[in-house]
Amino acid sequence: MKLYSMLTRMTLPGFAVSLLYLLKHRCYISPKAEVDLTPLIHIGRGTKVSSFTQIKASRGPLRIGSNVSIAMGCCIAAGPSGITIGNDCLFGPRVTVLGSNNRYTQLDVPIREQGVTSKGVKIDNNVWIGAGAVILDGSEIGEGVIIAPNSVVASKLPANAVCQGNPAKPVFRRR
Amino acid sequence: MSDTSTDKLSQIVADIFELDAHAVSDALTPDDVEQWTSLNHLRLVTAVEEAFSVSFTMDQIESVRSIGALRQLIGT
Repeated sequence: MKLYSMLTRMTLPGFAVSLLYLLKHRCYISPKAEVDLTPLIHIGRGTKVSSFTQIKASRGPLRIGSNVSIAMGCCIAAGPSGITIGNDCLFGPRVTVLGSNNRYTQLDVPIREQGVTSKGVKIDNNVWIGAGAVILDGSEIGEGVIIAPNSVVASKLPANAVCQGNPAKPVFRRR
Repeated sequence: MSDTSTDKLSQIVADIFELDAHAVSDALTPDDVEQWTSLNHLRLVTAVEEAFSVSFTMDQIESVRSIGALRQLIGT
């Protein structure tokens, strides 16, 4: 699967990937985006992925719902436990979603050789993630949540909360 | 509105917007305070709701355009 992803990534031009996703999933991928062409990725109908965004899923499943808007320069990288994004979500520019974390418990072994942990990321429907926010592995974001720009999410956020900070915490509940 | 409530509200506003409590007046508006962003507006409302045990509707929250208007909401 990794080799397949690598080969398609290196050989297929951007507009070909865009066309394939349009025909198969009825979603709109900018030719300047980098989206892995793999059965591990499912993107819903009407979803738009803008330029310079990277969507990678060589190690685990990545499911994006329908009518999701992903702005420029985002990075969504699924780990072994996967990433799930609901319907009608909005991603501002330069949002990062990471589906794994490096292990670092051994001082005598380089961090890059210690492997990763992966709990997965779940983003529910109708979530708005502000520009520059980072969603770390293990995060669960409830329906209707709004994440302020440049926040760092590392936990569960309740539905309809407006959240801000590092780590992101609810500062208001939508009503 | 009692003096105690006035001081309490002024202190909350001062904490949220990082101002001197003595600089908080009813005439204060978002145009006067650089830190009065949309997000800090929501933080202010949440802090006021917790401190005064009140609950506002979204229409009421959006209608607040000055500290005086917020004070009136608490009083109603």
